[in-house]
Amino acid sequence: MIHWAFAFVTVAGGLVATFAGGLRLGVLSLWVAGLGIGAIYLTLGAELLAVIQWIVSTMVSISFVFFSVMFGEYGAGSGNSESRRTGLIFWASLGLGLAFAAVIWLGAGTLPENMLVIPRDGNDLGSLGKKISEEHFLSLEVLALTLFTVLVGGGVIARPQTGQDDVVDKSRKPGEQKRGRA
Amino acid sequence: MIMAVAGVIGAMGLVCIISRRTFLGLLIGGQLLIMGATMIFVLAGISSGARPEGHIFGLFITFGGIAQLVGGYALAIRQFYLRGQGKVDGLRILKQ
Repeated sequence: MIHWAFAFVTVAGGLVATFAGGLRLGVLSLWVAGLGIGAIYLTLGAELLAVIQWIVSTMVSISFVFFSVMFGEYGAGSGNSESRRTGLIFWASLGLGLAFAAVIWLGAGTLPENMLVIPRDGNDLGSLGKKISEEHFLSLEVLALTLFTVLVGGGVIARPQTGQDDVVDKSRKPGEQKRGRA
Repeated sequence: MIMAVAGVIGAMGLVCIISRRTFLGLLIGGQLLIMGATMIFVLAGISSGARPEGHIFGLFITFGGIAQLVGGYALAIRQFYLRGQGKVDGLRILKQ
């Protein structure tokens, strides 16, 4: 039963992330959806995935906030007045916090005993690590190589080039200030 | 039945990718899509009796999503250098 509550939170977060006007609400909703999916993993006995999902969702949301602030898109496009938005965010966050506490309190009391015991061949870290190193080692190497390539390629794509200021200046409107580069 | 939730999350990611106009909105949709795909793999592994395989593939997809996100950020920064904005339509300038 508890996973349906988390599923509701996840779907609600995904809906808001999809249809929200502003990027700020979208990013926060994406974070809530990620936390909800991690909680669903927890109820399914996948503790490792749950923890990884929570960490990844939080870091992704933080990076989205960072980049949207850098691009000037954070908080743009919602259309509401500032005071109404602030009040809405306050009451929504208060309600979400109380709901989270209530769900944990209600769910923790009804957890069956067998869910609290580590399964032999499921979320056991030892068996997962053994399986990865013995049967999926090539996949792990491909993943590591992909992440390394993306890291290097991202640095190459995003680097400033010689003469790039000329390109930037051509695309700007007359009178627009030149953006400084650190 | 919980598999339907994963499908709905993935479908919302697809809708977000199609409907958003900014590059960061596109990446949000991609993250939703990857979350749904991960959940489908985990649930399929549990329901078919191959629990560790579902977890491992979910792990790989999650980290693959991070790689996609890093590439998207790099493209967004490049476009922001060139155009000073983050619209998806502005990606065409990268061909020049």
